[in-house]
Formats: sequence, C-alpha cells, structure tokens
Amino acid sequence: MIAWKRWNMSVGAAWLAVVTMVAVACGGSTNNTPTTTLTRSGTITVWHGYEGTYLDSKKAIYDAYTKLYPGVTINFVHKPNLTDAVTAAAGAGQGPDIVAWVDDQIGKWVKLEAIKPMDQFVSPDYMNSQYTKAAVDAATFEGKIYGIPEAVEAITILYNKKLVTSGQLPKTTDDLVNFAKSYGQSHPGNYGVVWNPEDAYFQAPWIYGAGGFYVKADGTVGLNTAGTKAGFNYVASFKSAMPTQVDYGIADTLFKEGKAAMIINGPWSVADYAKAGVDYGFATLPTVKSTNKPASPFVGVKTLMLGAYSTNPALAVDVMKFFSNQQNQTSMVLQTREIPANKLALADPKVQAIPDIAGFGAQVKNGVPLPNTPFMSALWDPVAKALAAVWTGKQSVDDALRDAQTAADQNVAQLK
Amino acid sequence: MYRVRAVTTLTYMLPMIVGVGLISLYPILYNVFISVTNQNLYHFRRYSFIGLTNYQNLLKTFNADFFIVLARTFAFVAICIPLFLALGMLTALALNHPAIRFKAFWRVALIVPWAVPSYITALVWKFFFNGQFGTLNQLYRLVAGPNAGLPWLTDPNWAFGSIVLANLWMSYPFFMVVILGALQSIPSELYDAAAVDGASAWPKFWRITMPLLRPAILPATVLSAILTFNTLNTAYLITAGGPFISAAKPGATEFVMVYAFREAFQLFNFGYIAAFAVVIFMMLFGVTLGSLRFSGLVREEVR
Repeated sequence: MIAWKRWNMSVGAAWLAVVTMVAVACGGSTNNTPTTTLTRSGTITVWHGYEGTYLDSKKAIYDAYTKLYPGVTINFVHKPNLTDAVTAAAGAGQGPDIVAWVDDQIGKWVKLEAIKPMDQFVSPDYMNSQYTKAAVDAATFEGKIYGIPEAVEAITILYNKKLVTSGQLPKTTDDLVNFAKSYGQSHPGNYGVVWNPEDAYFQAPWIYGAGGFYVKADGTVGLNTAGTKAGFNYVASFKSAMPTQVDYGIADTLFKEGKAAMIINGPWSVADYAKAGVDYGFATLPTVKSTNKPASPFVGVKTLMLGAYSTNPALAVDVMKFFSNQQNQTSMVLQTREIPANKLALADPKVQAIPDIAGFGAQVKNGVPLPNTPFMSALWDPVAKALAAVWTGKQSVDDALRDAQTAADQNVAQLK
Repeated sequence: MYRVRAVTTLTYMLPMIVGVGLISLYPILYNVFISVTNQNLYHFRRYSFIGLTNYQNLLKTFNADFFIVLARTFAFVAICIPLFLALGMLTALALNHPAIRFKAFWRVALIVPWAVPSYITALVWKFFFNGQFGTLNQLYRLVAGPNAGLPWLTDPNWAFGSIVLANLWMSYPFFMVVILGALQSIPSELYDAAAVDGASAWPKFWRITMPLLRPAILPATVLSAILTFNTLNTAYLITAGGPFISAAKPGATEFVMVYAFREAFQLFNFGYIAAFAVVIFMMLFGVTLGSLRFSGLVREEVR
C-alpha cells in the first residue's frame, strides 16, 4: 500500500518534471537588449540560398570584412529551404542575424516577427544616396527600413541568336503570339517561345501590362477585373503554340537544347545557358496591344534583412552596408552579372558594358515592384490554380477568375 | 515475492517517459492548444484564445472542400491498399517458390523502389507521366500514332490513377518483405501433410498460407493504410494536388495532407489547420483502435 502510494507520487513527480521541461522548451522567449554602439567584434550568422558562381563571389565579400576586422566571425550558412527555415525559426523565437533573400518575403516576415526594422542604424538619406529608388522601396515596409538591397531581378525575353534574327523580335504582344505560332508550324516539334504558363510570377508581365493586378497593400484582390482577364486570355492564346504540359524545368530544357527559339526567364538562368553553349541575346518584353503599355514583369530585389533575434544588430547592419557598398558591389556583379541595387555601382562603365546587365536593366525599367505585402501569400495559390484550370481547358477565363477571386478574398479575410 | 522499489522502476522508466513526452505527447498537445487559438500570419507570436471557432469554421468548410478532400483521401486508401496487398502477395509468393532462380537478385531488384528516397521516385514518375515528353506517352505513340497521348496528369481521373500507380510502385515492396518473412516461417510439414491428404495448390493457399499470414498482414495493412492516408510527397511532387478544375475547389489529387500543407505553409492558417489536424487525428486514432480490436491483435493489452 505504502509502496503504491510512493510510486504514485513518484509518477506525479516525473510528470511534473516532463511538464516543466516542456514549459521551459516552449517558453524560450528571451529578452534581447540590442547593442546600439558599434564594436566590431562578435559573431554574425548569415542565412542565404546562394549557389554556383553566386556563392563564391558573395562569400568573398564577407571574407574581406573578417580580414579587415579580425574580431568578427561570420557564419555563412546555406539553407536549402530558406523561407521555411526562417518561418520555423521565428516560431521558436530564433533566427540568424542576417537573412539574404528576395524582398517579397519582407511583409510576411515582419508579421511573423522574423525580421526587425533597422531605422536606428541606417537613415533614409543614406539609403537614397546609395541605392536605386525601386530598391529602396522594396526594402521598405509600412514606412520602416527592413533591409539593405543587393541586386535587382526581373524576367525578360532571352533569344537564341542561331534561331532568331533581331529583326524577328516582337514589338507587340500580337507579334509574339504570331511568331510563336508560325515558328511552331515551320519547325515541327520546336517552339517559338516557352515559359511556365501556370505560375503567377511568370504571368505578371501580361496581367500588369494589361492593367490588371493581383493584390494591393490593403488586401484588395484584383483577379476578377478586366485587366487581369485580358492578361489571362493572352496567356491562353499560347495554348496551340506551347507544349501542353510545360513547367519551368521543361521550358528551361527546351531552350538549352535549341528546341525553343525564345524563353522568358530571369538573371539566375543565364549562367546555365552560357554553359550549355547557347548564344543568347536579350529582348524586352513587348508592348501590350490592348493598353499600348509595355508588359510589366515583377521586379524582385535581393535584400539583406536584419533578423529579429539578432543580438548585435549594429554589427549586422555594418556588415550589410559593407557588403552593399559601391566598391564591393562593382567587383561582385562583374562576376555574377547581376544588376546591382547600388546605383553608384550600376553607373560604373565597366558594369554597364556587361550585356546581361544592359539586357535585364532595360527590362527592369518597365517592371512593377514584386508586392511585399503579406497578402500576396494568399494569392499565389488561387492564381496558380486558375491558370492551371485555364491552361488545361477545364474552365473559361471568366469562370476561373471568378472562382479565384472568391478563394483569394476568403484567404485574405482569414489573414486579417 | 521479489519486490522492486518504486524509485528503481521509475528510474528505469524515466528515459522512456521523457522521450515519449517530448517526442510524441508534447507536439500533439501543442497542436491541440494551437487549434483553439487564432494563430496565423497576422497573429504569429501574439495570438489569443478563441475557443472552438476554428472547429466551427472547419465544419462550415466541410460543405465546400473539406468533405471532398476527405472523401477523395478515403477513396485513395481504399484503392491503394488492396493493390499493395495483391502485388506484394504475388511477388512474395513468386520469390518463395522453389522454381524461381537467382532469388537474391530478384529480391534486391524488387526492393529497389522502397530503398530509393521517395521524392526522387516521385520526380521520376512526374517525368514518366508528362504529356509531351514523358516516357509513357512516348511508348504509347509507338503503338497509337505520332499525335496520340494519354492525359496522365491533365485529366482529374487519370491523374488520380497515375498517383495510385506511382504510390503502388513505391509501397508494394513493404508488403512483399512482410509477407515473404511470414511465408518463410510457415513450417513445410504443414504443406507436406496437406499433400499427403491430396490437397492441390489452391486449397493449400487458402487453408494454410492465408490463415498463417494473417497475423503478419493485418498490422502491416493498418500501418500502410495510415501512411497512405497521410500521403504528401507523391501527390505534392507529381501533381501539386492538381489538376485543378477551379481555384475554389480542391484539386483531383489534393489529399488531406496536401490540403493541410497548403493551408499551413502557404496560407499560414496555423490555428485552423491545427483544428483540422485534431479532427483527422481523432478519426485515424479511432480507425486504428477499431481495426486492432477487431483483428484481435492487441486483445491481451486491451484487457
């Protein structure tokens, strides 16, 4: 009897121990007092998704910083699923000092408290003196600065110089679809132009160029609108001129193998095309016939953001500024061929002489900022589903966009 | 009688209690807790208690898409499991047959689908199924003419069948291994005795093999049914839940876990999807308990 009672108590104690451990494990929100004065010593962790040639040239800048200030150690960590990792870490009240990613996540990460504002360490004047306006806007959310912009990217037309002459390049959206159809007829099994027609990001040029939009910062969804419908109809007009099932990988392969004369793709792809031996040229996306405005791709800005749990934000921001200064950006883009967000680097004649930078740079001027509102996360899925339903012929454009509007409105309402 | 001191018992059990507590119980309890809060993208760190609202919303959505997702997932399990069993049984019987030569080779060859990481397998199948460039349609064109093509992933019913096929390929080796193990433990004397009594192959299979395989097959079936119910990789990587016939309806292969993944990690409705998970958990728990009781496998433990 006594033994039983004692056992019972011990079990109770064990449970108490378990519960306490759990409580300690989940209640780990420590109060970090930020260091405002800059002492160049300590450890800075950077999470990034750089690969290939990008990786080496970016790491070189961080190495230069630690060489200059030996008291600083920089952990340069490659995260294969960076957006998920940042979200998961924020849930646990953790994260790196610097997140290197694209600005479209800023709104979401601010709401998830994964990143924090850095107005304390960097002034708007400094931002405007160093970076292009589009890049400064991209790094700003609800009036606060959340990052230092690095490079700008947008999609444009890349063409295979062996298959297309510069005289054949499309000036209007009608030219492009006619070229695609006639090229397919004269070259069976080959395609005039390819891209992923079921992805929201890749259709933005046609939708925004036709006056449509996905979502505004206040949560207004613009799917069931005349402009967006016009954009969808234009995409659907390529059905007879593209493979029935074409995703990013297939489009990419077709262009590499010379089976597609043009592709719509971004700066990240060109190194591979050069490696595959494709002699490529650049053409800006054509003018949208109905509105007489240029097709407007999303312009994304690679940005170094300040992690919400950084214990040494002053040092982290100092590293970011060093990374994004004129000298380092100039030498970096000469290797990576990215368009620098640093306008002093962009103006450098050596930089301007790179064909990729001139090509994508011309396209960026026609672009619209990639929405950094967190409501955008409510749109990707319905837009992709509607595009799929239209592309496979399951729904008319009107029906698809009516349903997508309903679904997106519902998603936005859930977020509010 | 030898008595063990309670403290001793407890000391031995403590690592297990802590392990189970941290690994199994804590996430489940945490999930239940999240399901009664409004945690989402806008209320991530500062969420508040909202009672059973998420469950109410879930029931409301039952009309729209949750019922469809659930019914499709059950249909998927109901179609997959008999196929796994049949193919697993056939391959196991073949491997166990004395007339088969190079057994070691066949055993390895048949187990390969199980050994390859499932996401690689899924991506390979995705390529096989592609309408224009996929291997299956290339072969089909040899027979049916240059412009023919089967809508492997573009038609909702075909896509459902394609996922079943890919899943069958990945999952039957598990049944094969389980059944083969059980087959080899059946004493050959039973078959010899049956042969003396003049039994042919068919009665031998039904009267000896099947009853003796039952204890091995049943738990494997329950386990596999739950894993199939929770399919994410195969469906998400091959079709991403599609093909979609509308943005307002779930896709033809948007099974429970695909739906949950979208809601949780693309739309960040953590509270809502936690409630969803609790409902699914209760259902699976009930089904598992029921089937184990029914089969009599845990009778001792249950008593």
